[in-house]
Amino acid sequence: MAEVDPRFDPLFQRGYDPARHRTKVPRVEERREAPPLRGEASRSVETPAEPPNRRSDTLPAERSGSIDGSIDGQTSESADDLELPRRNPYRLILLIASIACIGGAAVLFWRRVEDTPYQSSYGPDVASTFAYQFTDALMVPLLTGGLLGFCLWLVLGAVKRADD
Amino acid sequence: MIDRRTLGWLIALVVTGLACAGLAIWLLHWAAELQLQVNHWYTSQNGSNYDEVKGAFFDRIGSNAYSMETIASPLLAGTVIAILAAITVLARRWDLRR
Repeated sequence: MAEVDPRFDPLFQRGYDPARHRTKVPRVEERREAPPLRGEASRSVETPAEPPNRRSDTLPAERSGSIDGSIDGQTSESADDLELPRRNPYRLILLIASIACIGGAAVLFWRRVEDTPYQSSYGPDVASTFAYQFTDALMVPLLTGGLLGFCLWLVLGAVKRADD
Repeated sequence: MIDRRTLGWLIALVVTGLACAGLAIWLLHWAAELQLQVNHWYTSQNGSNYDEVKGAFFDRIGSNAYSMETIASPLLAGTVIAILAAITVLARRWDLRR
């Protein structure tokens, strides 16, 4: 009897939620009882059953060591693919935005330093005066926000490690 | 799809950021107008007929304009921080969903 490739198991499908999509998955003992494929009996390995937890629910290949050896290679490969962490794009955006804020503050500061002394920087009309005052007022917020964003980026990394 | 709770946080942050930006721009625009009036008055004076009463008045206006510019700075900080906090909320939601 042909064995179904475990990679088609719902547990491996994208968006799988154990709370909502739990189907009947063969227990470890049941899998152990399944007859091995021809000529592969010597390659099956017995492993002790792990206590049920969330991680073992998502990766049944880790707890079923008795599946046929040729399939075992494929399952462990697909499990490795699942294990690869996908980068958080928002965390990357946060880092880039923080660096941009700090860089922008540095540019504004340099413009202020290079201002000619004894010459009024206010323009002849409201628009140019507003633009000058706006860039002047934006320098410190950009620096503060950039540093805060960088700290948030670090905190997100630390919290994610704690979650894992 | 963003859940309602996250959406609520994001809307609150966007509203806060926009309010801060709007208030800061209004203050800076008002400060620029006052500053221009002060500059025009000072450039119209020459040393002989300097009106001290009007001078004190425009000094006060210039000082108020400077204060408005100072207040606008933390308001702009509120806008920048609200944007970064919204990105942080999205990043945290991404981590929790994985």
